[in-house]
Amino acid sequence: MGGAVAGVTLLLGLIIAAIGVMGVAPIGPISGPVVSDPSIQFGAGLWVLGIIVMLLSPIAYVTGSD
Amino acid sequence: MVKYGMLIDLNRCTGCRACVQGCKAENNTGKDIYWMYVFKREVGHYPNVDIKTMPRPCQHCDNAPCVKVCPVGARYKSATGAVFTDSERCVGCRYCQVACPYGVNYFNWKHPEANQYFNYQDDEGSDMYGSADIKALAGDAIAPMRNPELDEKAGAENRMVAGGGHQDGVMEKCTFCVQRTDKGLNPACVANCPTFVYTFGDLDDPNSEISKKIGSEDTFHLLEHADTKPSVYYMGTPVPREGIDIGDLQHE
Amino acid sequence: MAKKLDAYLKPMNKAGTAFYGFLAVMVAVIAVGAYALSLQFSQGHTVSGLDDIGAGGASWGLYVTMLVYFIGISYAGISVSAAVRLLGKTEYKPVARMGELLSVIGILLGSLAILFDLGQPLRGLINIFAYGRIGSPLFFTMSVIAGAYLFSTLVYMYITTRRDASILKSKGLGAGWLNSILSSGYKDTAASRQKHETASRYLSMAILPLLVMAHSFLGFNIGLTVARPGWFGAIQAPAFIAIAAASGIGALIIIVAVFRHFHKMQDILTDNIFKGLGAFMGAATGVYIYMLIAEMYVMRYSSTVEEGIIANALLFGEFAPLYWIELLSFAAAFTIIFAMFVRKSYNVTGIVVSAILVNIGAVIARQLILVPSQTIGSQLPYAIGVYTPTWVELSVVAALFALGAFAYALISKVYPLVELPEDVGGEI
Repeated sequence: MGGAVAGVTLLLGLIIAAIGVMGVAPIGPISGPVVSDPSIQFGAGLWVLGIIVMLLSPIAYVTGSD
Repeated sequence: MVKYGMLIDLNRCTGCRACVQGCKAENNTGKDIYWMYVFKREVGHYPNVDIKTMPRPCQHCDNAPCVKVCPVGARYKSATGAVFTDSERCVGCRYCQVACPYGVNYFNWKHPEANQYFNYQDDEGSDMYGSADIKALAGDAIAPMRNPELDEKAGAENRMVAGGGHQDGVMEKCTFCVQRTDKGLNPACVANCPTFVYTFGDLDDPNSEISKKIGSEDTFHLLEHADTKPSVYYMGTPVPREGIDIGDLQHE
Repeated sequence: MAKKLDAYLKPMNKAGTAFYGFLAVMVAVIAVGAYALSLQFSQGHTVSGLDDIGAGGASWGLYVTMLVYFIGISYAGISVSAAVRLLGKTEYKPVARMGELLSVIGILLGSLAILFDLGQPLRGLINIFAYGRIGSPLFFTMSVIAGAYLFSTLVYMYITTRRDASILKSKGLGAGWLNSILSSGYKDTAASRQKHETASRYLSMAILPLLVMAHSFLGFNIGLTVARPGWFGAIQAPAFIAIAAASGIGALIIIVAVFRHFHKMQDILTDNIFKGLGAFMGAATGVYIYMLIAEMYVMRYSSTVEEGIIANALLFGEFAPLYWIELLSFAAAFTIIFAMFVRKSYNVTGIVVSAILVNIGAVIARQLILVPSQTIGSQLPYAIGVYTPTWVELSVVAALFALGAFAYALISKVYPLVELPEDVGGEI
């Protein structure tokens, strides 16, 4: 049970982080102003949030019912 | 789309620094902030000495290291080829300053109002003129010191980039006078030079004066090895490292 | 032979006047720093010794030095914990939590240092997350470090601490509210302990690449700037890892020594632990000395004009006193450890002295990487400048150290910093 919750948390965090990475201002050759704006505002925040949620999965694992 | 570029003819430069003055008046930069700076060095040994001068605006690089390192995207390359700083977004980390090989960035160490040549907040009626006496004596004959266009958004992307906004704790640098180029005028340094050192125009237009000159003259960039691909071209000889600095503006 | 629970809880004993005196001094230092900071907010960064590079000054100075130093010493926590969990070196378990707390406090202090360095700190906090660009090493560093590195250490601490909290709670020791929160839902069964061990094991494995990434990108902040001779180069990434290892373990050694001395915990914080930590620190110091020599050799043999100027200034010029103090500190520290190993006689005092020397060297090293390249290393012929930190910067930095010491001491009083082993207090 704990393992399942942990797995879900990990996946959820991964998805949020991936959305965040896609939303952050693009890397690439400096061809124009597009490079300075994120595709999703707070994309960077989503990325960090996703990492944090992924890191909650060990807690989900150990607190899941024995 | 236009791509702004500048050609600086060092053979014509006399070191008069009218460009520096023009830039200051147009952009209301504070003390110790020189968006346009002119190096002045004396090389050689008496009696065989020579004075070498070199203006240094922001190079508005195509491969700008300052744009690459800005953590919040305040520094960006505009569609018109200039590199701007969005003073509403800048957080003052100064990474662009340490990443720029040309040293063109300036930080607002002091509150901007406390760093002006005229204290235009304090004097009664001074407001835009910097001094109440000037307005009283000359009326409209003398233009105000303070440039109201700097409070507006500017540039092709319509962001707060003109004049830096002059906020506390943000970076600023040469903007190719975006508030002037938006109206089809030349930057202040170009307009003020008495010896026609500067050529400013559209690098993408093969018939522009600057494109023709670059095509026909020997030009170079500063610090070519850094591969920053600047938009500023030079003709003549750059100021060398040897010699004595005789025109240091930055230490009062 | 199971030790009594009390032996592990000695730091939590009732505080004496010395402790309160120490806290008072820390608060005083923090107060002075807070006042200095208020000046910085009201007058702007002009109260510091920083200046534009075009004016010959240094734009990144003491605050950035401290950012790198504090993030550097946070290396200690996870590396010790990883050694315990992944390499099975259980003899270091007593200092694992102390290292993790050092990591957490180090990252928080480093984040404060960078926040105080920003021209617009409040805007910085928001804009970093609203508009962050991964392409910028600065953003990547702060988000990976503050986000992942810090949080992962906190999660790690939580998982490894639940058992201790439940033991304390059942015996009514320590801070009841804290123990309740930390131990809620925990049952001290063998299966549960196994689960916790597994979780911490996998977490350690996940944190190790984070560790390498975090310190490498901290180095890349410096190493990717083509503008700065003396900064630009690939060696910055591994060099930052090496010095982080050395100074981090060194800082941990100092803290463990303080605890051992003041609480008389020689039986738990054994000589053996110091020997092991000292060996690791000595090795990391050796690696860093090697990198320093390699860098200087290249700069002196054949380099660009600016690198030559910087190398000259470091060896013989205005930065020479600091540079030689740094080199000699590292060399002395390494020699002490090396001599101990050759003669096979280790003493804790020598190891602690080495640790102090390494940390002194580490602070100077960071400062000497940052400053000369800005004041004298410009590629265009700007005027040469000087950077001297003002009392404002020094007070704020002192306040950061005091804040860290204050927090550490206070936490040590309400919670056991030494992990309770399996055979102690296990009878719940």
